Amino acid sequence: MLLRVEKVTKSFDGFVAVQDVEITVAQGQMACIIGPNGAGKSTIFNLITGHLQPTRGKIFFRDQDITGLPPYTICQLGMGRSFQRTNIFPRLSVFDNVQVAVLAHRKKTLNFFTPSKKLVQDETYALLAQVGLADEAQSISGMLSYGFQKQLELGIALASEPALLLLDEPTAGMSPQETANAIALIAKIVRERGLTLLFTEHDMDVVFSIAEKITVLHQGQVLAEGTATEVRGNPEVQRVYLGETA
Amino acid sequence: MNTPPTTLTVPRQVTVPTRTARGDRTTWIFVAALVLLFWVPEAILYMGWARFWITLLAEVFIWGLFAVAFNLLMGYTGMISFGQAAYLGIGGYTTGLLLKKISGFPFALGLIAAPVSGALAALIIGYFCIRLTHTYFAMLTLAFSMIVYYTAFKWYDFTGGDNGLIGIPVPAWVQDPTFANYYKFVLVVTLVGVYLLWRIVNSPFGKTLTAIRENPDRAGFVGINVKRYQLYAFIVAGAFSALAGALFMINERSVYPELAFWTRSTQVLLMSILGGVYTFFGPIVGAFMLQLMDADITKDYPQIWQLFLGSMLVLILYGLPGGIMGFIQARDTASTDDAATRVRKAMGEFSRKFWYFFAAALFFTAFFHILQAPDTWKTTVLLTAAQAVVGVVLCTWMLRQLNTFTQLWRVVFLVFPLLPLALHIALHTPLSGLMIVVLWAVFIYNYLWQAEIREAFGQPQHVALDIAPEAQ
Amino acid sequence: MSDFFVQFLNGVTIAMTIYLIASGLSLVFGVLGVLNFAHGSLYMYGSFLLFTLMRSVFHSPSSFWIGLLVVPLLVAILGAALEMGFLRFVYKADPLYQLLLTYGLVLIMSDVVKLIWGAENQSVSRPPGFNGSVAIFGQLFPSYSIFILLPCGIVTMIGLYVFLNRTRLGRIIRAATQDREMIGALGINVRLLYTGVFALGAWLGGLGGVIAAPMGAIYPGMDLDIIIDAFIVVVIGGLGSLAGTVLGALIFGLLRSFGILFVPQFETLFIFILMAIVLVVRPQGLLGKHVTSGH
Repeated sequence: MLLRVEKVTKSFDGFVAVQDVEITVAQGQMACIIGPNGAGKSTIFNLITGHLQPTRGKIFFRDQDITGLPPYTICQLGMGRSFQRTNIFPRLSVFDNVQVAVLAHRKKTLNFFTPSKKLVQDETYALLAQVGLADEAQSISGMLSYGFQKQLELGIALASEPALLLLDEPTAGMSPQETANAIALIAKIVRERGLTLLFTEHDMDVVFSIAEKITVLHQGQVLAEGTATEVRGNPEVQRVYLGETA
Repeated sequence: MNTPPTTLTVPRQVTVPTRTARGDRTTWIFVAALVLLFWVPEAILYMGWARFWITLLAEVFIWGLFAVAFNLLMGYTGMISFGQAAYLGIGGYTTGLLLKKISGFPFALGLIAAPVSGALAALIIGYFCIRLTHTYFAMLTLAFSMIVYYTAFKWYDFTGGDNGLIGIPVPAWVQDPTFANYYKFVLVVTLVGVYLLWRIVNSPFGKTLTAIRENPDRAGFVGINVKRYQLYAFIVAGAFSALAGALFMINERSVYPELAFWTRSTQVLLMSILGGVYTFFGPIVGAFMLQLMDADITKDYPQIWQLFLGSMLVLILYGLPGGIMGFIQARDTASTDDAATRVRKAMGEFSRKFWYFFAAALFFTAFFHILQAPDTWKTTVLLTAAQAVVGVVLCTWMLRQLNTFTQLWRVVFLVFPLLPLALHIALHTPLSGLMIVVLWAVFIYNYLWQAEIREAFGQPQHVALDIAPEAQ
Repeated sequence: MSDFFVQFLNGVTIAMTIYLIASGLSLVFGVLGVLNFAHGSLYMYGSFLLFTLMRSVFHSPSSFWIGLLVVPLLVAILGAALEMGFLRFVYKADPLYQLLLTYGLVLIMSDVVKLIWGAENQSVSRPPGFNGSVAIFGQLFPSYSIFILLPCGIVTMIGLYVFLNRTRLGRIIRAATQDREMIGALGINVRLLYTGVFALGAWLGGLGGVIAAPMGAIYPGMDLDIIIDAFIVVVIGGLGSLAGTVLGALIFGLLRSFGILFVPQFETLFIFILMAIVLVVRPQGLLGKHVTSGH
């Protein structure tokens, strides 16, 4: 198991956001967490990436206990993440956005004197090309359209050469055509690089099209878990979540 | 992944990165600056101008170094320090004490001791300060700088207290009656310092700092230990600031606690804002302009220096937040509006802010004129009122014309500041009065010549722009 | 023992003065989120306006009482004008910009004071009946301090407490400290509220200027001197907490008073060290709420 979330509970001043959640993701798997708004999906992500500390429970990544480690350490251990609301470096160019992530990954950030533009050019351009942003390299990232910003998010996450890629609602706010393109791109990248993917989603078509393992969260607890078929057939899930839309 | 088509298709320019060439070019700019500026004192003496200009320039260079060091924290890392002057004091006193108390202490070593002590102090102070953010960070840096000030002030036996440390021995080749040697010495040291900072800012370390400024959370999750890099930035800034402090000391051959007083910290802050915090050379430009205005106004009108400075600050904050050099507007760039809406909003902003500059230019023309000829103040006020009425009518009409997006009006607006400029020259108002007009012109250029608005001009777009909101 | 009490009383007097000024600063920060550098300037204008009133308008020391009534109101109007003319446009901007804007106003107001009143020190005499001293434990205290300064401070404290905790308007203001967006959503005219709160803060600053004037010198530059002290007080007590301001003022006053007694050279240094310690150990101040991101 690449990632093991073991009986993790997080409460904020008495409000229990997630309770006794267990999630496992195997190497190379494409796993998904679904659930209605407020179910705790983003909280789980934040717990995994170290932005929040669990009140109880442990999290293991590559069999190493990462509970309580700061986000930058967890990132260095091999996790990459995109965020639900685009979380980029707005006044930097697209190129700079990705380059700084590559530089950090390559541990070149304490270099005080080499002009940075001479470093890691090839890797950065390759990443930009892979997420379809090669033409936008010099654009100021904050001025890009939403779709492009999402692509940039992916590019930044990939720059850390993660073993586990966490994508928080990667297709939020996209049109059906854009969603299809985004998912195709993500699947392609994941397969080519042999990554493990864990993502959260609202769009059921997306979920059922690529997710090999689905965890359903409801009010902070795991409701069901299994393959697409299993989850679709689960009466609890249908009642709570899919029932309204089925 | 295609973006939804916008009403106004603005072709994006695909530029191949040519920055490698530019970077090397900048090194040559430094060399050129060194060569050109080196002979300025001789030129000044030859022209028969006052020697005071040589000292002024030397001081400007030191302030420039200090401002660039300060801006490493503010513009590049996003940490606003209200107590950077502490390092001026630490640098000045370290070098001063070493040179004075230890007889025969080598000058070069004393000079090097300044940035070293600055770095050490910044390490200690920074360790505490970086735990905080924004207002609290600013308050703590302020507290530490006042601690430095009061320590220097009260520790009479060691630092000479409020009498300062005087009579510090400095090699003879630095002192000379024309100050030319001192000037050259300062020029070389500050150029080297600024060059080093230039390299630092463009290095991977510098890029990391800008990432931290832009989005500390995201920077954390690309593997950057944000707090540690903030501390590094703090240390570098402290070191170079201390060097500046030592340079200040060398001119007077004395150092006083005032070097670390908090008003000096705000002064460097103002310089950076004036010149523009998001560019490297902005703070230097700001330092130059501020010292020039200071010399200019305190000569004849010392009583309104702060009034002028405050008005400049307010004007810049409202109209030109990116400072003189700030061609990256400090506006909300994460907007999801399409291009047409952005253009429309920008034009609206332009119209609104235009009036601030108008009011300021009008006010200061009148104000300076009254100061010069107080007896005729009634006439001046009447004339100003007339100017105001005419100006308001004229400018309102012009602004309306501007919204038709024809090229002619863009040029008209750019040329417009020549009018108040001519007025200032005719009235013999001090140099600083021209400053407002310069700022006004920069403001107009900034807005009307930035990429998207430039695209909008020359296309008869006002119909399309009217329906643009629905296109979202 | 009596020495101790004397110093204690002295410290309390200092505390009252700085409390009056710092309370306005704290209130404005708590509701508007702006650390108003120009608060010291408002205090200064209070003193100078009192000076003009007593010297030029009424030519009599007993007009102090009129001044006490009228001057804070004038300063409140000035404050409201500043808020409407300048501050209201930068609420959405970076806190730094707000701070810088208020600093710009400080610079402007500083020179305007010199233009209007000249650069010399001025003074006003204490109102008749309060000119002398009162003996407490064998030490002489100015009767002004005991009978005017202290009571005014206490009345203000109680008045603010009652206003903020017992009146509807006060509750709205306290709610605005917690959540500014909600207030607007509840149908309250946020603009008016902000102007009103700023005016109230200015009123407090002006009151401080009036009360402190007979006890010290009135001079251009007092704005900068006092604002640093006010910053220290609100930082120690807790930005935005009014009870914290009282505590901070007491600590400041007592430290200064006893400091002068025991370590006469270093009391200012100690105060800044205390400020630094508080910021490092407990940045929200002794009684402040936990520091949220954005400040």
